[in-house]
Amino acid sequence: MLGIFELVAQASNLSPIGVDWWIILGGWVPGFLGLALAFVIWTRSRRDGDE
Amino acid sequence: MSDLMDSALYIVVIVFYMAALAVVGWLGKKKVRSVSDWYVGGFKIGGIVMGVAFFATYFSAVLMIGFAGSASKWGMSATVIGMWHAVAAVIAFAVLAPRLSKAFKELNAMTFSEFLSLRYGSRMLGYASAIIIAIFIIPYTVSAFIAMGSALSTIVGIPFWVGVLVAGAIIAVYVFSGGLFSATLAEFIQGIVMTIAVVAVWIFSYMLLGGFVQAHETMAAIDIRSVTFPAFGTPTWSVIIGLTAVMGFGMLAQPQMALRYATISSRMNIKRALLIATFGSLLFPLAAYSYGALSRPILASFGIDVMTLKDDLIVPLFVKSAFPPWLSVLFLAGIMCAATSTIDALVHMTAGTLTRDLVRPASKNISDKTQLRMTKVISLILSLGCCIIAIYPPGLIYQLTAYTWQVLASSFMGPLLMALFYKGANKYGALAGMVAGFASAQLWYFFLAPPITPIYPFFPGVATSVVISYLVSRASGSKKD
Repeated sequence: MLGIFELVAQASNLSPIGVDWWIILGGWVPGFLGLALAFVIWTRSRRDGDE
Repeated sequence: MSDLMDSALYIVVIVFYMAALAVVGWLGKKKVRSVSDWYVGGFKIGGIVMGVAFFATYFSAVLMIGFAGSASKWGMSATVIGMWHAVAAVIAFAVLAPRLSKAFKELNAMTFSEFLSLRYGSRMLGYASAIIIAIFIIPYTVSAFIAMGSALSTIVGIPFWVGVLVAGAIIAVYVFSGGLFSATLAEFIQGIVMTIAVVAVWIFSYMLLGGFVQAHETMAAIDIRSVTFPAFGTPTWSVIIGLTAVMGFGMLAQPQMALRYATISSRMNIKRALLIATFGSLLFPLAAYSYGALSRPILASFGIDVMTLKDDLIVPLFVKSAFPPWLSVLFLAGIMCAATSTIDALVHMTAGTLTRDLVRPASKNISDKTQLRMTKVISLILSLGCCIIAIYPPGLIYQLTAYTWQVLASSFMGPLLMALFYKGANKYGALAGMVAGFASAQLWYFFLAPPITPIYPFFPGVATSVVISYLVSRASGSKKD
């Protein structure tokens, strides 16, 4: 576990989970936001009785 | 002896899978009573089934074997490509599907080419799009056969060409009988099996490396670039950015994908499909690209350096070397599901397009029954043709797939978006956009594609298609169609 902090110190873009922040912010965050949006659209359509 | 037992187990799985598909084909056949049933499932396919069928068609063995194998060299940055698939799925179902399914029903269109032809009132547009689809869908279909052949040959231990022919036989069994009903029903089952397989391998790979953070640490120790985003302008940067766009947004104008979200029965079902398709489009590629990247340190522990291997052989070798038999069998089942779910969609769409948009207009007195029979025969010929090409692979899986997706997206993005969102769009604009998008993508591919420039042909191709479709429609707006 300590090794990861050494790596973070060596490569400043590395996040605490050992993956580049660019990968997280440029890929993982948009992906999960897309899923959240899909969930919101689905719940709203259920509430509105969309048919 | 153990190898013999393993091979026997794999063969049992394959035979069981073929039998299950034959049952699905038979069930689908009972439901096919009209041409509309075969082509678009009679517009009666529900949201949950379509949601799963969508990502089962979207992702195939091409991703599980080809792209994941290449990801072992690209590292965790490959997951960026996968995560944008979820964003693209939201756009497909929330923005395009409501308008497209309504337009398909109103026009009574059965194929993508027929939709363009009827929407713009131009037979020429129908012919041109049908020819582009029929020719350029082939490299993608071939790549799916290569993926399945590679997996079967390495895991089961049979010759590569036998693996490819087994894939062809499986496809022929049920597409030949039930059309979109069989295809969608089978894709629903396949989508669930392949997702379980991919997620199991993903979790198992992290467990082999000692957990989530420890795994990344091990990867970084081998090569720090495995966990960092590639530097701007490098070949890997170009591949990651290019494939994120091509495989994400390029999907929106793929005829086989459009046919999936255009044939849902109601607005509520579109919303249901949206949630399921987005969830699958996030989970499946994230898992596949991750285990692809993780295969490098795992294979290194077996003394295998992935950088010396052909991309398409890395995942089958990874499965063979590192997995316990139960997981290999599950993965093999997942591969078969993933490959066949995509191939059947491509064969179904291309055979339908050839018959309905090229043969039928040329021969005026063709009955529905003859048309249906002809489509099935073309499906069979197409499967066999692609099998034969796949036996002598013309390129890496991801290269063949990206090529097809770029050509189709560049040709159809403009005409499709204008048909749905611009009332002033006309046949001149659509035809000009299609030809200009197609030509610019081809020219870029041959003269300016990576490594000459870091830009994939997708970007100029799609931009040209959209801009030309709009400008020509606007300029020729006064002409009567």
